[in-house]
Amino acid sequence: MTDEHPLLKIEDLAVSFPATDGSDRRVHAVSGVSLSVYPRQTLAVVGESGCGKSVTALSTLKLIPTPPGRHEHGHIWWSGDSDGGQPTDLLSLSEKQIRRVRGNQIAMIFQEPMTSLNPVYTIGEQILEPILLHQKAPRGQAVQTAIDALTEVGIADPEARLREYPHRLSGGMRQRVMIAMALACQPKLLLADEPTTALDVTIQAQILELLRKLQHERGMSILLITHDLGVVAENADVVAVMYAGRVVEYGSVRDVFSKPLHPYTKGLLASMPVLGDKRTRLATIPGQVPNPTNYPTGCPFHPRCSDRKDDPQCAAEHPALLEVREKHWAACWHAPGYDQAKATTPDLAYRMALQT
Amino acid sequence: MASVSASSQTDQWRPLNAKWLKRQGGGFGLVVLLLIGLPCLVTLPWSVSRYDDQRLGGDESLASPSFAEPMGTDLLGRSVLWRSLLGGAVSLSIGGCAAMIAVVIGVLWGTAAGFSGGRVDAAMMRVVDVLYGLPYILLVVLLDIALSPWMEALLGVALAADRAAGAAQVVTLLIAIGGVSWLTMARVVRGQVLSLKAQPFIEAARACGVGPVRMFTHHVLPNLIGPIVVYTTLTVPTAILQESFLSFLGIGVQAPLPSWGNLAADGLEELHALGQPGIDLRWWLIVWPCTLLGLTLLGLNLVGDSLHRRLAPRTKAAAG
Repeated sequence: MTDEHPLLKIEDLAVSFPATDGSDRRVHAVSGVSLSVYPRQTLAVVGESGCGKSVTALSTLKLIPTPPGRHEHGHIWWSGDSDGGQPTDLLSLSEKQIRRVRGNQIAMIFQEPMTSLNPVYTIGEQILEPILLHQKAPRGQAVQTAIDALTEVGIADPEARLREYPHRLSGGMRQRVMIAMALACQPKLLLADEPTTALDVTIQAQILELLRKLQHERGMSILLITHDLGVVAENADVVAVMYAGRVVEYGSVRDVFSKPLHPYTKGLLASMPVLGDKRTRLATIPGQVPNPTNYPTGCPFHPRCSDRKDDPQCAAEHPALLEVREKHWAACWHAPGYDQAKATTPDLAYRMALQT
Repeated sequence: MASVSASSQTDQWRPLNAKWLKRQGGGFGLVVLLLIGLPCLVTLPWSVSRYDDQRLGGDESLASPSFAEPMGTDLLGRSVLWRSLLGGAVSLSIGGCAAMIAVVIGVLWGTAAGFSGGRVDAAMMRVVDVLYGLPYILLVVLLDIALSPWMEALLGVALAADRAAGAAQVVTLLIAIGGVSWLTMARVVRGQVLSLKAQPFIEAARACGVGPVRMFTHHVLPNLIGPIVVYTTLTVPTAILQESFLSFLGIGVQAPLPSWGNLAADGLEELHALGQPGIDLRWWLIVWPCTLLGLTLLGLNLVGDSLHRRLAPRTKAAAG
């Protein structure tokens, strides 16, 4: 297990945008994020809106418009480029090189299935596009691939669906088509940016079930971005909790859910409804996600923290992400054992791959 | 919404109400256009040789409409019918070609600006703003003066001298009108490109590995066709009107070559006869060109409106 190499390794990634207040300051949407995805693993990135989850995923495919965005520092090492040679830094690739990765080795599905399909093309033409773009296959064979992909995502009568326009499909069907499009080129990694947020609950369950099944069959990895902890608990192997552009807790899904170390993670878990619970009001985390133009000094979470709000250290110094317990990282001064944290280096290379 | 409810109240006594126009306006406009446009274009080979047949003296000058001359004759005894037919061909071809030029320039300029964004976009759109600010008549006249000697020399190679002069006039005028009417098209297209660029399916296509050229030709342009077609049909009448207006002022098509605009200008003097009992009103000199021009513009606008309703998806439900 230990000499296994991650498929994707994000190292100390920082992405900034110009501040909207007109000054020439730059706002860091993501700063110092490190995470890695192993083959056949699902990594869930969790956090409230605006904490940098999507920016992290978009950076992986260099989809952040630059300018105005800018990759300040960091690397995104990708080892999925066929022959298992040296990992390449995706951020250093040219536009032309990254286009060979997009949709081919790393595919992405988006939050909004209603608007993520081009209204003027049939389903078939849209699924064919990445296939014809990346694989030098003749059209007839590509059509067969598209039909297979549609069958695989559970769409009935795929030949007929190929000739239909997106407006005739429901949201769940469109998300299935998006998944079929993403999977048509057999990617090694699937970036799923809140794939179920716009769907109703029964369809959500079906789509997640489908993703699990496909992951199992294809042996691909998934980077799952979500704010739904229920989704995380059922689908993820490893969880990265993000807050204000940083990873604040990182560990296996079992560790994070049963023994959360960071008060933010505890707050998120506490605010989940529990089936059969008699409480009428759900617990909330007071306050709001801080505006990126104006992050508080020290730990960005300290103004909302219920644990030790008045600790001067929290307000003064930013806690680094340390390995507080065996293979369980947290960035909180008050995490039990943080002061003598076993590893002073936030080394994130090891992780257990659960539920194979 | 207000206009819809207002028109439904007045349905009983207005035969040509809004609902009828919505349903049938496009077809009606098309029929009118064909009835006027086809004869003008089909008779072109004959009207070119007959428009300037002067018959001075006798009863032939200023004859009122009769069986031999269905639309009467003018001061020089020329048949108003032939002159209107050729004038129609001139006006329609200037309108159509100018609109095409405007579409090509406008679409290229607008997509280039919208696509590049940032400073390039700002610079390109400021150029449009500046051109908007200049009076277009001035621009047309300048372009006309600059282009006409070149055009005459160019066409002189292929045509006889007198024909070349006439053709050169028409061609320079349509280039000049086209060269100044692309501004609105550029703005419309740029706006559409900007809103398309923010659409999730464009980002999804990028995430699939689609390159910039393919993105433009396969994802942006097909989504622009609707607005471009609609706006083109509305640019044609504007161009025709501009041509007629310029000819009316004496800047556009020069005598003896007719266009609906300068035919109407010739007929304008007849208006002096109004209210003066001693003088005969030679109505045929002004009524024919104005009617033809008006009906053509109406037809084009009806067709454009109807296309707009059919191609703009958001108003489709409301129109049905």
